[in-house]
Amino acid sequence: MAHQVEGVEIDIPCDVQQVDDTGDVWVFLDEARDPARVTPGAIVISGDPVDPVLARVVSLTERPGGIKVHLQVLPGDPGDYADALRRAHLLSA
Amino acid sequence: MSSASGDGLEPIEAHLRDEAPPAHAVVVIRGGPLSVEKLVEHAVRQAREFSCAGAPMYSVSVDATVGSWSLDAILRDRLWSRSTYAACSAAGLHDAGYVLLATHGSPHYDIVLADGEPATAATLLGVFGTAEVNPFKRRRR
Repeated sequence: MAHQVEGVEIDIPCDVQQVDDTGDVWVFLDEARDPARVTPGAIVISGDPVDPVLARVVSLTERPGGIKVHLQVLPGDPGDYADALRRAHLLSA
Repeated sequence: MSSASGDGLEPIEAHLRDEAPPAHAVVVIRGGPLSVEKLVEHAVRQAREFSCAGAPMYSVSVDATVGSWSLDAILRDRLWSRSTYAACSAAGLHDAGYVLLATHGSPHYDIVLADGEPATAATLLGVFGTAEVNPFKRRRR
């Protein structure tokens, strides 16, 4: 059963099932821990602390409810990316 | 994309699929975490963007086994990042008084909620029942 990983910090939470006509996941920018990091093309940690995902910021759109952020969830577990970076000596820790 | 309604929210009516309501045997799947907090977060976010019948739309996204989508296909292809999921029948939701809207692309649906309150989310979670392990979760080795 899933358990929350202590200390996981999400850049911007998302619900991977909350999509719109674009097919992409969407959230509001004011939900981000540091909104300045959420720019088009940026890679962010999203999802939730139980099941974090890597995502690419697709777009930011002004809407009446706030700035809507579309995210493309990247395939695979975030840890797999870290493993690959370590193998290539692109990540020291 | 259609224009926003007078109060600025996007009418969900412009994003409904023209299809019959799901058969009662259809399985409705919600990915984890199956928590009140997560459902409230989703519902409140939805109500900031969409309206339903002219009012803010509190809802929770789900997938359903319609068309060629089986439970396994949904868990593997759409919910691969979720450790857990819960499922119930469309009949179960209907009998509990929930409206299931076919929104955006198939097999996505929205379960409409009365509001974004924790008690409302907890009641919906009760309809889904126990969380199951997603065998298709892409885990680290």
